Amino acid sequence: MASASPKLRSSRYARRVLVGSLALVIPLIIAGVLANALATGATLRLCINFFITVVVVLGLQMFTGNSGIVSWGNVAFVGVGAYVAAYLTVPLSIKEELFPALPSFVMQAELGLVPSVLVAIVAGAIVALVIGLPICRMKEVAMAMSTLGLLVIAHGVFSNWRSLTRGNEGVYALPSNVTIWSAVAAACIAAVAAVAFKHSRVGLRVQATREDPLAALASGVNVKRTRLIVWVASGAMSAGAGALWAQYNLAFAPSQFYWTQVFAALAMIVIGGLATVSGAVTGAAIITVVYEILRGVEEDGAFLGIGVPKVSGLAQMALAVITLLILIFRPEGLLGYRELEEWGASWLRRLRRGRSSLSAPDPSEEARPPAEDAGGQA
Amino acid sequence: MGSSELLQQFVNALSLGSTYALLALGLAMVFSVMGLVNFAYGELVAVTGYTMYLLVTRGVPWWIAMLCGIAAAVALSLLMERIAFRPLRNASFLTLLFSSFAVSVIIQNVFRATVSPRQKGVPSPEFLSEVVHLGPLTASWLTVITTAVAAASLATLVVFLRRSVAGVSMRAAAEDFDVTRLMGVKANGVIALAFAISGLLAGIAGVLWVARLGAVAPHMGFVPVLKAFIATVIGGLGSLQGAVFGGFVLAFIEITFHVILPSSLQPMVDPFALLIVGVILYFKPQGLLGGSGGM
Repeated sequence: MASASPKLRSSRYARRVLVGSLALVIPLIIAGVLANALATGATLRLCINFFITVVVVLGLQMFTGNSGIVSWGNVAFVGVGAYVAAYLTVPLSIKEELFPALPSFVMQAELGLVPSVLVAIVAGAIVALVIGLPICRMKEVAMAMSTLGLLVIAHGVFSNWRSLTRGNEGVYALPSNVTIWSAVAAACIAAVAAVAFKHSRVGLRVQATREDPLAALASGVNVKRTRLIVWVASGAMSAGAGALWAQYNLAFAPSQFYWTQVFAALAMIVIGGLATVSGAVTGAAIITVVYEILRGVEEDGAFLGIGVPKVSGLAQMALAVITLLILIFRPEGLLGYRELEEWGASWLRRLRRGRSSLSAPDPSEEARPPAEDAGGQA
Repeated sequence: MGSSELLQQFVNALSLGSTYALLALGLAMVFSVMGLVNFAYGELVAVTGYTMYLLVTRGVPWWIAMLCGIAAAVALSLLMERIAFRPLRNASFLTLLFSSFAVSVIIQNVFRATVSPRQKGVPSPEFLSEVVHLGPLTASWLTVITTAVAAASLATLVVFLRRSVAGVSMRAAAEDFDVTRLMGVKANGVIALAFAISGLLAGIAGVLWVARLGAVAPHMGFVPVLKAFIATVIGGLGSLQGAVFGGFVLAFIEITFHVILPSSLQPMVDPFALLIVGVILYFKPQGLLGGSGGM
């Protein structure tokens, strides 16, 4: 690989990104078309929320998946994006009453979906840069701890800076700007960005620091700067996701950027496979479906007998049990270290080999865990 | 602020700090032998509280309920190790962390489903809230007892870790687990012992915690584990002395903000304290006592 000419390298990169993106974009678009054609009411809402969740989870995966450092703090960026979206999109007549402390140029703004998401992305990147400058200098565990601190601090700010966030009363009156198509488009853009990042030079460097920070350092990787870049990119994507989410859910409060959300997002990337972009999308799909089914059961259970305390927390408990079982029996997640397209390619090879049993074993098969492990393929 | 009030706040910080130190030590104990930051540790505090709630509300005397609560924490700690963490021995830091997070959510929801999703009151003995006068200082019995119990527990633990064979092998395991195994110490035994001590410390801290709050709730374990985690990181993860030291540092930071912030900003005590912790970690990324090993 080192001897490859720059041209060859860039064409390889382009092909990887193209194939990797298609492997995600095509299923996402198919899902979008199906949802649009078949789903109505609550189901359609669920589908749109799923596409937005994909963006949230990819934002988290970009940092935690590539760097191997757990970030509890990405949900805080989702919150930043949501508040920025509120500042930019709430109708002028209500805005003055909601956020009296806004500077006048923001007070005058009334933007649509795309510009508000773009501004949120920039805002997320700036906040992430300011926070990232100190914390990307730290050791891994201290950094994880600091992202936890970030979550608590952000929650404190969201709940207490009343003139800018309305505290626990929450924000409302956002315009409904997100349709199924804008949600699908956002999920696709996020997927392409995540794949492009993963295979890029910075992406490869940060994955090297995940596997072995010392070896990466010895190979000339600037560990701190690489982590900072991925942290900012991840914060930006999470903030964009927050802006999108806010303009679909229309009202929100600080409690929606806290532990429940952190746990759900982490469960999604753990179940799908931390190291892969398609794993994050798969995890998001599985968890969304499982959670929805169980929440239905949980709520119906409450209707069975009036006065009987309902089994609350069933959905969350199931989520936790699934996560734990995956961690024990398949700690690298359902997809492991392979993207969807790599699984597809290895199955094709096995099929072919099955037909001509004389062919030599494929050397690329050996370095990876055997494909028989694919037990829980979804 | 007069010097007597300063002294008063110092006493408060000492009492809070000794609770944090107990909590942090229990968390550090498990981390040092198996590299696990056990997020389900807070649920050990919660199970102590719930056991006490179930017994006290059925008329069992408080001090018996207290002992049962501590026993429940030890039992749950061992159970966690056996069911969830033993299959994950040698897994990566991240895998262990995530699995403890999952265990924590499972246990929280068990409380929610079996007892109640809402907060429940646990009556404490009345004398605990009575005030003691020590010269110019006033403190509740609870503050005094908390400090005394924490100091006694820490002292007992130090003696155990220094004098007994089991204690020495635990310290050795904290220093270098593989070499300790080569010396003939059973891995399962040491790890189970670490979890048992961790449960014991969480149980003792849990009694003090519940006596202070006077109530239990399914998510009550969150704050203790957060404080314990922060304290161990301040002190330097993996260092047992560091955990104790970090607990006191955290408590002094918190009490300081508690005193200097105006009442409108009191909810920001935790965020500000974490900011300071971030500053400490920026300058001492390994923690204050990071690098040094056992006790």
